[in-house]
Parts: sequence; C-alpha cells; structure tokens
Amino acid sequence: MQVLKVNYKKILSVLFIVALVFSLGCSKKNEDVYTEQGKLKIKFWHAMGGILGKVLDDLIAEYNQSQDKYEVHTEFMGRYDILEQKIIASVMAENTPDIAQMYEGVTMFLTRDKGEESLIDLKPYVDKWDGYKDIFEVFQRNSTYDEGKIYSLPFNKSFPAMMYNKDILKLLNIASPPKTWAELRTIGTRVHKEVVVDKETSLPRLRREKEDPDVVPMMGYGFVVDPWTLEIMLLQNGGEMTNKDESQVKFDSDVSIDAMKFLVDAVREGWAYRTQGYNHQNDFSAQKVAFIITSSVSRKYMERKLVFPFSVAPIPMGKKKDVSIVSGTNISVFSSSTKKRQDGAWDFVKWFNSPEITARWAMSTFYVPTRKSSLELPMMKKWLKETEGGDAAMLQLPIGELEPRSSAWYRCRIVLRASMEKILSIVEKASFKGDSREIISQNLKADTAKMNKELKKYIN
Amino acid sequence: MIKSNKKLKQAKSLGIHSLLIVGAFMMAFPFLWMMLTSFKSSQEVINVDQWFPKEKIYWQDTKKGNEDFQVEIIEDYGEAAKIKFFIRRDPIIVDKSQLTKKTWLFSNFAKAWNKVQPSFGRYFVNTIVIAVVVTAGQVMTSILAAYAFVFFQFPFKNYIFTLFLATMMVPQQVLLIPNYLILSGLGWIDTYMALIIPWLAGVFGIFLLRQFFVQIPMELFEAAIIDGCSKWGFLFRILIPLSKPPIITISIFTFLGSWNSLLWPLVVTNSQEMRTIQVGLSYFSQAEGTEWELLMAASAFCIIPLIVMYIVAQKHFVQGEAGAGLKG
Repeated sequence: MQVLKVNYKKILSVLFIVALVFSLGCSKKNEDVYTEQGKLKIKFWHAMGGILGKVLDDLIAEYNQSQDKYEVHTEFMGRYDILEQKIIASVMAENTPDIAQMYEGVTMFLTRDKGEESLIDLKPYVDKWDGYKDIFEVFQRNSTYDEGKIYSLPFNKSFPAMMYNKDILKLLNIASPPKTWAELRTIGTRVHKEVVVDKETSLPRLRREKEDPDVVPMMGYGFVVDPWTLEIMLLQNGGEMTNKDESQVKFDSDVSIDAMKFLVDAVREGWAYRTQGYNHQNDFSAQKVAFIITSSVSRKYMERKLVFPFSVAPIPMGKKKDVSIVSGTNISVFSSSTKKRQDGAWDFVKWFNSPEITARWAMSTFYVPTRKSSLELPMMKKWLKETEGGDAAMLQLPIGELEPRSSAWYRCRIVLRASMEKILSIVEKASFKGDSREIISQNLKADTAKMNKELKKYIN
Repeated sequence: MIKSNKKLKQAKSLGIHSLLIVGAFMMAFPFLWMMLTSFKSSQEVINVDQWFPKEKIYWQDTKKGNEDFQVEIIEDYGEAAKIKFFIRRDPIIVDKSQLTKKTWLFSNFAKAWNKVQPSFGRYFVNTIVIAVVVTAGQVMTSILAAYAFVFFQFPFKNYIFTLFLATMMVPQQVLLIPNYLILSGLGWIDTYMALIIPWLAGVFGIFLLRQFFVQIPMELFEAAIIDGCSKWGFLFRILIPLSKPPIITISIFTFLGSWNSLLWPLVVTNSQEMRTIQVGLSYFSQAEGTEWELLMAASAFCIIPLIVMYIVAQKHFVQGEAGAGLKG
C-alpha cells in the first residue's frame, strides 16, 4: 500500500483558492431592481399551482399593466411545506422575497419565536387605508397580533364545504341537503339503505324489492381524515381546541370524544367511510357517494369532471353553536426589503384586497372574498345567482373561527390526524367488538399529551 | 419415464412463465394505466372501471381562444343541435359541423406541455444538463475517493471514512436550511451551481466503490507500480475497466436521483427558467385537487428520455442493477 505524503502547504493553497472563488461568487443582496420600463420589481413567493396559479398569474399581469410604478414577479414554490421551509431559510440567509403567502404558524415564527421581526408591521399602512374596516371581521382577527400589530392580510382563504349529488336527493324526495350532522346521519343512512349503484349504467338508482345480492349500495358520506372537521365539530358542540393562552390543547375533553365518536359511529353504521388522498373527490365524481366535505376550492378542480347535477352547501352544523373554521394563508411583507419595495408590496397587497379584485379571485377559484363590500358588487350578485352553491363558503364568513396560530400547531395537527387515523383503523374492522368510546378516549388522551409536549417545546 | 419427465419440465416451465407474465404485468400496470389515463378526458379519469377512452363530442369556442369543450347533445335538430356543457355554462344551439368526435385525446400532451411557464422544453434542458453533469461528477469523485481509501495510506483514513458514512444517516430535510444558507452566502441561489455542485460528491458512491475496490488484490496494484505504471495509469487502465458494474450502478442511481429530484430544485431556485421537470409535474397536483389527465400526460413525456436511455443501455442497466447487491 502506498503511503500518501500529506502536503499541508498544498492543501492550504487549494483551500485558499476555493475560498477566493466562493467569495467572488457572493452576490450583492437587497438592491432595488427596475424593469426596462423603469418599474420597481417586487418579488412574490407563492405555492399556487395548476388552475389556481393560472388565475393568480392573470390577476397579477393585470396589476402590472394597471400602473407604472411597480411590477410584481411571482415565483412558484411548489407546495406549502416547501414554501414554508424556503421562507425560513431565506430569512436566515437575509435573502427574502418582498412578499410571500404563509400560514399563521410561519408568521408567528418570523415575528415572535425568532426573537426579531422579519415581517413588517402593516399597521402604519393600514391606518392610512380606508379598506381595512371593510375586511371581514374573522380576517381582521386573523391578521392582528400582539400589541395590535398587523403582520399579514388575508390572501387565499377558504372554508370547508359539503358537495352533494342532487340526483340522489331527488331519488329520495329530499328537497334540501342536510344542515346539521344529525341530518347528515339520517339522510346518509337512507342513501346507504335505499340507493344503489346500477351495475349496467353505474348510475344511482333506488334499491328494488328483488335486488341482486351483489349490488353495490350507495355510500352516504365519504371523508378523508382531516383535523379540520374534528375541530369544527368540537367548537360546534361547545368545546374548545385549546386553553386561553394556547399552551394546552383540549382534544381529550368529552366534547372532543363525542365529535370523534360521530365519525366512528358513521363508519361503523356503514353509511360513511374514510378514504385517502383525493379518493373522496374521485368517488363523488364517479357517483359512488352522495356527500363529501372538502375545501370549497376543490370544486374548482372537480366541477369539470361532474357529469351529474350537483351542488355545494356549507359544512353541517352541530348541537350548540354555528361555527366553522377558516383555512388558507395570509400575505406578508418582509422587513429585509427596502422601504421602496415595502411600499410597492403594500400597494399590491392593498390592490389584491380591493373589493373588485377579491371578488374576482373568489369567483374564479371558490376562495372567499376578503371584503364585505365585494358581496354587494353587481358582478358578484350575478355570479351568485348563476352559480348554484357558489355561496357555500361565503355563508360561513360570519361564523368563521380560527385555528390556534402557534408555530407548533402544524406539528399538533399531524399528531391529531394520526390519532384520528389510528382510532378509525381500529374500530372500522368488522372484528372489532369492544367499546369504541373507550378506544377514542384512550387515544385522544395519549395524543393530547403528545400535542401538549409539542406546544411546551414552543413556549420554552 | 422420459415422457413424464418431459411433461414435468413443460409444467414447470409453464408455471415459471405464468409467474413471470403475472409479475411483468404487475410491473407494467402503473405505466400502462398512466399512458391510458393521459389520453382520457377529465370525466373519464375518475371512472376506474373504464380502461380505454371512449368517443366524446367536443365543441370549439372560436370566440374564446378556440378552447375545446366537451359537450353532450341534448336535442338534435338535424343540422343543428342543442349542446350541454360539463362546466357551468348554459346549453346553446350550434351547427353540427362545429362538433367533433374524439376518442384518444392527444391534445392532453400539448396542454400539459404548454401549461407551465416558460415551458417543459426548458425544464427538460435543465434536468438533462443537471442529471448528466451530476452523474459524471459524482462517478468521478466516487472513484477518486474510493481509490484513495483503498490503495493509499494517509492519516486518520478510517476515521474519515466513518465520518463520510455518518453523513449518510442525516436526512436531507435536516440539512436543507443550513445548505440554503451556504448557497445563499455564495450567491449561488437560482443558478446551475446550486443545482449541480452540492451533488458532485455522494457518500453512497464512495462506499459502494470502496467495497468493490477492497476485493481487488493489492498485489495487482503493487505489480503495476513495480512495472512502471503510474498511480493514474493504474486507476484508468486497470481499476476502472475492472469496476464497470459498480460504476454503472452508481451512474444509474445518481442519474435517476437527479432526474426525480423535487425538493432541492424548488428550494435553491426561484425563477421558472431554472426549474426542472419534477417541479413542472408538481404544478398539476395541488392541496385542493389534481388535474389527473394532464399530470399523467406530463409524466408520460417526462419519462420518455429515461425509456430511451434504458433501451439504448439495456445491457448495462441489467449489469448495473445486479451490481447494486454487491457486498464487500
């Protein structure tokens, strides 16, 4: 074996050259860049792809044409989780965009957890803007942080909505979709008992007296396990997700157990089933299930596939109060931008939240508009008249609540989803003969402790 | 006796072949499904019972950018017909000559190709450049590192190798932010440098080659040196030709890894011009829904270069895959 003589001088010179090359590569950051037309470039990171991305790009092109001071350049970041990682990395590297869409957890991280404010307080801008008081109250609460600071404004906000097959309701002589979970259970059970999928046509029809034993019964309700639904049911039944300072979750409460038990019973009774990914949307499109609950925006992707009469209604309500939970991201401006770019960013944010643009955004995507006055616009009234169920998400605006905004909430959600999956996987087996409430209680208690651990890490 | 032996052989062969056919079908099924789905309409893709696209009627809206709409004739008036849309749009009466029948929707490919900005063409160029350079670079660095680890003695050799191996245990996600900080500091964000340079060395390749090289007798190296062969000469004339299977294995894995990479290109690039095909594919699948037919069409044309590569280098692929099981 050959012995290599280590030439330290040689190694050091190579390292020096590498360091020199690297340092030459370092770019100048944070300079204002202008287009050939003399417009200041504003960089906007988002994760809106596909159909929604196209709508956003078209609107932004319109903004860019509408004035001669700023030009917004969008940069698509693929998925929300990747966007989140990239935002955090870019803040640390002091290489941020000017604007980005983000969930509240990220906003909290960048303004409170990190120890310095990486996002600007929009309050000075908002104070000079008469549009803010016209923003829906739930979004004002969503945007306001400690000491009345406003770190974000609403961007793509949605509510859960219930899509239903009108042909199936017609077969059962039911005039309107369920308004409560109890009604969903009643109608869902009837659907499962009385309607089948015709073997020849694959269409829904009423069960005949002498029926083929292999006939496939229509399913009442199909769902993917989503903490969003459980959280809403919990609030509707008078429960709470967390204590006041959001340091502890309350998913082990009796109300929470009752909410989970509704889903468990629905599956055990046979009229509902859980599925994965987009399969509930696919099954609904293929007329295998009468009701699904999904984001109001999913309709945008689904409606091209639906060859039968369908409509959309708000999520069913519970026993104590009418509540729904808003989802989606907000838009924030980074403090590392120059003042000029911050002004430009604000100009765009304000424009995007103008009554007309927010109305058009909502009409093209099924997100909800952010301005109260947008509902009064003639184009919106016309659209609502022509689009059956187009108001399903908007009707939930007055009863909209928020999820906890701690940056640890994202991890809590993962724990809660896993807990729900685990419970359902145990009790949905035909061989399960035990007490489902006990299983729910055990799992939710254990996972509540896990979630509290996550929150504690964040507080500390 | 001979007859029954022959029958037994035939039965055995039939059994093996049946199994292989089932296996081959199972392997080919996702590909077949992807291809069939890429020719279907958005209504057809959700029908799992429908294998092949059926005949559909389309109407082209000449007033709105010649967009094609799938329609259904609800009333036939001879030369005209009342058509119903599958989207929110009131039925209209049109001349029947404006209606066209289509079964296999080749247009899905064009739609998918043009849906992303600037275009999939640009993404292909980026991906090919990155995958080829990364593969060549990683093979080269792996050979050199493994050569040094096996045939030379230098201080802390085993410690350094262990340290190399330890880096394999760290998931990419954990390193994402620190790596971003380094690249940002270097001013490499949104450049080919960020997409290529961090991947020019890979521990897996070094490990695999080292395990192969240790099987080559040291006497061969010493004999070559005594006979006047230089160290570089031994590497290029003897060692590399002897190590084709593991080198092909590394090349395949590196190329495929680079071709399929999504997270890294998204994190280290900003502009659409620097994006790769996997980023293009992610455009069709969002949190709220997926455009299946376009996703499948785009996936189909994204794997064409891989299929061509496979056909051209089929022999080496088999050799390379077999080499993946190599142990020291």
